[in-house]
Amino acid sequence: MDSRTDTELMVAVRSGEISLLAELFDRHHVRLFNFFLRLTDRRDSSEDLVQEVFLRMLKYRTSYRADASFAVWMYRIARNVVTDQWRKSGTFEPLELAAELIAPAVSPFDSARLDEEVAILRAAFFSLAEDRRELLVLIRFEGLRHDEISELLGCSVGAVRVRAHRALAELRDAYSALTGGDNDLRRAERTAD
Amino acid sequence: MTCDELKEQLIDYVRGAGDRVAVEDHLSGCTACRDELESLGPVWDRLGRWPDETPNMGLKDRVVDALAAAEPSPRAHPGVWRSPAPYLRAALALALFATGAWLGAWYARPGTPPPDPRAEFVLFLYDDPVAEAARTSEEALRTVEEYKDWAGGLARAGKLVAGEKLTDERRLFSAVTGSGPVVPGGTRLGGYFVIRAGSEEEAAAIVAGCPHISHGGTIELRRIDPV
Repeated sequence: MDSRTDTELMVAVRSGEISLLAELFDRHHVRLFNFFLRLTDRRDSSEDLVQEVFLRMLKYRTSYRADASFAVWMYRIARNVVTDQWRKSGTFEPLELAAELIAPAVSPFDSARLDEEVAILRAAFFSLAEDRRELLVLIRFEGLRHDEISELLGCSVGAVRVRAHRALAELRDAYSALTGGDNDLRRAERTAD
Repeated sequence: MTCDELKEQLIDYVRGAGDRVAVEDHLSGCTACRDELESLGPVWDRLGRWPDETPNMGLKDRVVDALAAAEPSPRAHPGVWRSPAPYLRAALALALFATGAWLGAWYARPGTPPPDPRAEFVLFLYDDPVAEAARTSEEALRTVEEYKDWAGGLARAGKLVAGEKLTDERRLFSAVTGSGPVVPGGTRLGGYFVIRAGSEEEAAAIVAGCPHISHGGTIELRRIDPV
């Protein structure tokens, strides 16, 4: 395992040590894969998109600036990759999960590890608009800081906070809609307690 | 703090960050915001229970090939990019094959004693992908030597019946859930050995000496039911 930071590795890649991309792949491909998976809900194309990110890192390596956040640079490429893919293929229509995931027999290989409430939440998640999903993924799963997301999305940190609140509220409402409103999360939590 | 200002702070609050004192001060006197927070917190928590998935093991090979094709200079030769894991897998397969072939030749020798009637056990070897990926090429090759020594010793002692490495592709078949690919992640069954031992304790001692354990893998020991 290389002890250098992501930025140091990418600077070295920029200088010609391109095989170090393999180290960056080891560090980040699972994050990227899940980023794409939660945006598109498609395993096969998510792997293709991860590959495309690293191809673009190689191609545009000289554009990397040492004073820039590697995470922001990488996710900027990732966003471009998925946007291009959307443009090329029309759109990724998320699978019809909302109804399916409530029926436990459907999609067992995706949902077997999820408890039922998480499975419903996942279905609610995929009913959200893509920009809402993206923001929630960046904040909740990819662990980016507000300032990094603000730089990535080109908006203020305050706007990131407000949009994230809105996205989370929409997710809550979508969840309630899927459960007919009688499985309110708060009540479920209290019952669980 | 106004209700609008609080909405900017709520996402930080559910993340366990931000100015918590100011938020809690507002919440103590505002039922609407308190309700909002109480309804959002569980959504946030439950999102965190949505597990990551693991891409297929072959993805790195595929990406490396694509990178090497895109940058076909000597410095970007595929061998430069490879992690030790594929080397290990290939070398291990070779080692097991070689051991098996050697074993077959041993059994085929004239005068080879008939199979021992003692109990047979199966060792299911589960790989640890993380430990495997962290191995350098040199370590991987050393590991293969250790496997060969271990399996060769068993074969010479007449305790090894069979051993094979399995490919990474997996499919599940079930009358309830139908057939489909296995969701990757965590450990996976990488191979097996069938051994012969006089007792459960002897079999356990053989397992304990297998290099798979010291290299982060897991072994499940099962006695073959002679029914």
